[in-house]
Amino acid sequence: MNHPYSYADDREEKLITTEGAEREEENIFLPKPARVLQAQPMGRTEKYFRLAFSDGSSMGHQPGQIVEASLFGYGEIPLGIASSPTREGYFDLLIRKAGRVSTALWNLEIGDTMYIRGPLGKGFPVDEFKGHDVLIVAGGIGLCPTRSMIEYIEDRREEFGHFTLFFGARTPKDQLFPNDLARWREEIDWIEYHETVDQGSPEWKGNVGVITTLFAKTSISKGCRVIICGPPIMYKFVIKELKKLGIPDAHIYVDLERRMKCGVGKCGHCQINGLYVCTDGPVFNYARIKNLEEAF
Amino acid sequence: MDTGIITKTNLKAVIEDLMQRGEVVAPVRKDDYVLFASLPSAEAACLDYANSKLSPKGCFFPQAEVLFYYQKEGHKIFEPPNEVKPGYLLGIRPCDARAIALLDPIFDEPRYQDVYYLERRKSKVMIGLACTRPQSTCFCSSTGGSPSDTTGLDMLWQDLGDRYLVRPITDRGRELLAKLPHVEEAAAEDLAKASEQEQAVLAKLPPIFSAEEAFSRLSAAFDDPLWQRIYERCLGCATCAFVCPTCHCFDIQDENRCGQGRRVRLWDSCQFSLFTLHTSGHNPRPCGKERLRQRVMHKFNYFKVNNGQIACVGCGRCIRECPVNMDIRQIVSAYCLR
Repeated sequence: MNHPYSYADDREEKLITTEGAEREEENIFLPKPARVLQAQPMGRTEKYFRLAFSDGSSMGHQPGQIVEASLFGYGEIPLGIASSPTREGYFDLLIRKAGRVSTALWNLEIGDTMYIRGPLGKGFPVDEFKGHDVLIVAGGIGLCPTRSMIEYIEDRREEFGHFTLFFGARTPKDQLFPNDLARWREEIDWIEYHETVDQGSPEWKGNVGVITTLFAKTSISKGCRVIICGPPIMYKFVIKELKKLGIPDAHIYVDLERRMKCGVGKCGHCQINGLYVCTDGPVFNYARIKNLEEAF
Repeated sequence: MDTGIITKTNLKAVIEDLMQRGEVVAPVRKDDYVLFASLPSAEAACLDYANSKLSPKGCFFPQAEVLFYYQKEGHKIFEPPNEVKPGYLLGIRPCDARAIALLDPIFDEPRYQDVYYLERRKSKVMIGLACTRPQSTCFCSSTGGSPSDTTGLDMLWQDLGDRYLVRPITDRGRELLAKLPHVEEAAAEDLAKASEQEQAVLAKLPPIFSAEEAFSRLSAAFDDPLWQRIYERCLGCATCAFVCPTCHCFDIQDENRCGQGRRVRLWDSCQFSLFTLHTSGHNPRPCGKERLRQRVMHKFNYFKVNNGQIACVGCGRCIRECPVNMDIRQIVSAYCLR
């Protein structure tokens, strides 16, 4: 006798069906199609996508929230939303060609369809930042989720104090969002922008060195609220610098990434001890997770 | 009627009556072991068993399940039809019923309700079977349960030799009791015998530790060097997770053929090295030590922080099935004895 609740017995017949049964309840596993409005390769392995839901709905997210993006037949991956909710009618994603799903997504072109579940998780607690100086420290692809906050600050400039952005990339060729960077370098009224690369090139005139070398370029106020997002190794060194400046743990927010499947706090993949990065994060207050060994 | 009696000579008729009312999922013998399956006939029910090889969590959270079907052309998504048949889950042990009650806050979380789990969960009236013959691997009394615990059950049956004592727990259970045929009112001696038996079974299960003790000791055990020693024997095969009634991790995969296919979810386990591996190569739990620790800590510590109770019910399946004889009781006691 086959186990009645396994599909092993009807595997062949039911691989495909064109009969659906719509439910009244919301089904958290169903993605929504989104159309690619713009697609542009960036960096060495990244590609920038501007998308809009095919049904015309808006994302309605907080800066820092994530989505599960998928392509049928390949699978689903978690991605940080790279645009601010203040910019309506579209949302931006950045995809690094790394695995099977991300490569398939990377290959999409203008007019193609991507499937999206979200927004998911907790983003940056914007109210905690209001009225304070803000420092964002972004390393590599960590610029992508923090860009949602950068744009938010740009659009609601009067709500925040002095805004400083540190961006570090491996080499000049690895720099993302070149148009944005060019703008940030020149526009000084709302953003104090500092950048560095780990390895320079003959054409590169800027800083060379790890991202923590940027702390010497400017002064950061003690009341500053800080966002950190980058490769795992970066966090502890940046936090060490922030300690030297006397910034309390509770004013530091880290944006983490994990392997995820469901994105809704059930499948267990993204757990850091008892915390689910997908529902409790991906943005965490540093004071809350600083003692969790597996967090960084 | 508060408590009923079904004599074993009438058992077949009672199960047949249940089968008339709906689907009956019950333990059935398969080769050398017992598994939960939809009953083809009343005779197939095996209520004289210790416990099933696999936990009945698969009745609500199947090992493999279709989330939706898709067709690339036209971007069509088809929700699988709700083919769940209302009915009864008969003969579930109290430990396993408690485990299913522990899964509810995960899948029935108000923000993100899992429709597939809830459809199955709501479809079945839970009829438990009190444990009268605990095995050497059983330790429910150490995790806050007992051989006749009623958590997660609508009705509890207790085997008194030639008859079953039938106790309704919820309104659903009381309604069912009123409808069942061949039920007599339980006599005082039946109740006395049942409580005597309950005490005798409980006496065979002296607690090794308490749920609170395990929780508080493990709260301080994350950095303990003992994990290093404990994990060395573990193969990382995840058998423990697959037989566990409360393990609920899953993977999501697409199965594709010629532009059509389905997205499925499949049981997964934190004991696998790929479980947390990032595409970049970074792995937050790089070694078996972290993975075993995650499983034990999640059960006895993190789950209680998140959901108020520890997530081990003491069914002992992980101990019975482990190919290298890892014993979760020993692991937890090692910390409790410190």
